[in-house]
Amino acid sequence: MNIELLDTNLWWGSWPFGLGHGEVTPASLAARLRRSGVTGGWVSPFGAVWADDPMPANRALLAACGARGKLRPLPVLNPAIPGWCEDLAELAASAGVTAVRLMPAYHGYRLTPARVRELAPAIAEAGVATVITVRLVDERHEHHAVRIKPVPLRELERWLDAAPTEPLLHGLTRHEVDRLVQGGRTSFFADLSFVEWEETLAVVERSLPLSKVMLGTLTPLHVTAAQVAKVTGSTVTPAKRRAVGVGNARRFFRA
Amino acid sequence: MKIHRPARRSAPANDAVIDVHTHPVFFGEGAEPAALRALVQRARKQGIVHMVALGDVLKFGRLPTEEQVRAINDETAAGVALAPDMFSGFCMVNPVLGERHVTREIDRGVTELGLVGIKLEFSNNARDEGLMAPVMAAAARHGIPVLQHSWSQTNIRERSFHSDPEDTCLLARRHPEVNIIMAHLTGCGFRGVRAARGLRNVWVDTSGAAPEAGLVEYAVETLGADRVLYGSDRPIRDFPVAIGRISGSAIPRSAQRAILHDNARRLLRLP
Repeated sequence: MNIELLDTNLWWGSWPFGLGHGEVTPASLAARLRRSGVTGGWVSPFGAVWADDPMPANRALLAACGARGKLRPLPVLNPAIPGWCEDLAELAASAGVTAVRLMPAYHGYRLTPARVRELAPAIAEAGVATVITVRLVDERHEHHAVRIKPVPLRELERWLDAAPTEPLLHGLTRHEVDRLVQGGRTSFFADLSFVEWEETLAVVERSLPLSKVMLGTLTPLHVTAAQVAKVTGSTVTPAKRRAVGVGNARRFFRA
Repeated sequence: MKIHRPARRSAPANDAVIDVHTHPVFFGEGAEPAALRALVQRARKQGIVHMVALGDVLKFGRLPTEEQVRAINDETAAGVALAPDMFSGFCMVNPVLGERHVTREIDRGVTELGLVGIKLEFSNNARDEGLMAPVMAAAARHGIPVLQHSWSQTNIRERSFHSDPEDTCLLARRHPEVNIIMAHLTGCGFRGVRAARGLRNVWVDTSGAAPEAGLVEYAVETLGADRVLYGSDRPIRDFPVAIGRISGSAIPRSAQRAILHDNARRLLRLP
C-alpha cells in the first residue's frame, strides 16, 4: 500500500555547511521528493536563517511557490528585529501562507515570558499557525565555528503554557517529546525529523497520539528516503500512517 | 497487538541485508527469548538476513567490572544461541581492566562462547596504546575484527576517554594486521572519513545519529564502496530508516549492494 505523503519540514537555497547539498532549487527539491514518494509540502528558505532580515528570502519563497503549487510557503519570522509586526502582517496576508516559522536558536532570542506574552497572541491574531524550529542540526555535529544549541525545553514549555494555539515543534528528539509529555504538556504537534527509535511511530505513540505527529524530513539536510521510511516502513495501522503522512499536516496547515 | 505490514520495504527488492551494528538487548530490554524472536521477525521483514549482536554494552556504565563484562558477553552468547543463523556475537571488553582480564575474556568469548569479533565502547580512548595493545594482540591471534565506537570530539569534548575517528584510525595504523570497523559514519562525519583514507584495514559503518545527507556518498567517493558497511545501531535507530540511508543515497546500485550485504559477508566470513 503506497500512501500519499506531505512533508512539513522542507528547505531550499544554500546551506553553508555540510556535504553535497549545493544550491537546492524548487525544481531540484521537487525531484528529490518525487524520488521518495513525497507529493509536496511546506518549504522554508535557508536564506532566512542566516540573513539579518529574513524578508527578502521570504518574498523570494512566496514568488517561487505561487499560491497553489505542491510546494507551499512556510516563511520565517524573526521577532527579534524591529518591525517584526509589519513582517507578520505582510506574511499573513500573502497567498498560500497559513503558518510562520520561528527560529529562536538561529535568530539569537529566547522565549522569555515577555516575548511569549507578546508574540504568541500576535501570531494567533494574524490568523496563522506557529512552527518552532527546535534544532536544524544535531548539536554534536554543528560546524566548529558555530555554537547553536537547541531551544531549551523550559522555554518550549513556557510557550505551550501561554500560547492560544498549538504549535508544530520541528526537531524534537524522541526523549524530548517524552519529557514534554511527562511534564504535562500535550498541546503541541511534533515532526519526525529527529524522532527515531526502533518502530519509531509505535514508540512515539506511547507518549504522544499519532494525531499530533507529522512527517518532516528536513530535506535537503537529511536523506529524504530514510526519513520517509519512518512512516512507510512502520507497522502501525494504515490509518495512522496516513494521519502522520498527510492528514495531520493538512489540518494543521489548513491545506 | 496486531502488527500491520509496512507500506514499503526499505531495501531494494531482492537485496539481502547484513547489519553489522545492533544491540538486541539494550539497557536490559529485549533479553527474553520472545523479544529476540520478535526482533528477528522484524529484521527479516526488512530483508535483513544477519546481524552482529554487540551486547548491552552500557548497561553498567562506561567502566564495567570484570564480572559485569562477563555477564554482558554471556547474555550476548545466549542471544546468539537462540538464532545462530541470524546473529554473530561480538565480545565486549573494558581495556581499562588490564591485559590479564582482556586476554582472558577475549579467549573465553571466542573459544567458549563462539563470539567472532570484539566490541569496544568508550571505556578509554583508542589512542592509549598501553591499554589497546593487549586487545589488538588478542584480535590478531584469533583473526577477528574489532568494532570501535567512534564519534567526532569537536563538540563533545570527552576525548580523554571517548575515541575521535582520528584516534580509531591511529589505532588502525598501529595494528595493520587487525581489521577495524570504525562505528558511526554520521558521528565521524567528513573528518572521520578523511582520516580513514588509505587505511586498508578500516571499514566504516553507517550508523549514528539522524540520517544526515551526503555522508554515504562522501564515504564511497573517498574510501570506496568496499570500505563501507551497513549498520543500524538498533534499537536507537529504526531498521527501515537505517537502510534508507543507503538505498536513498546517490550511489550506484552496485555500491548499495556492497554496503548493504557483500562487504560484511566477506569481512565476517559468512556463508
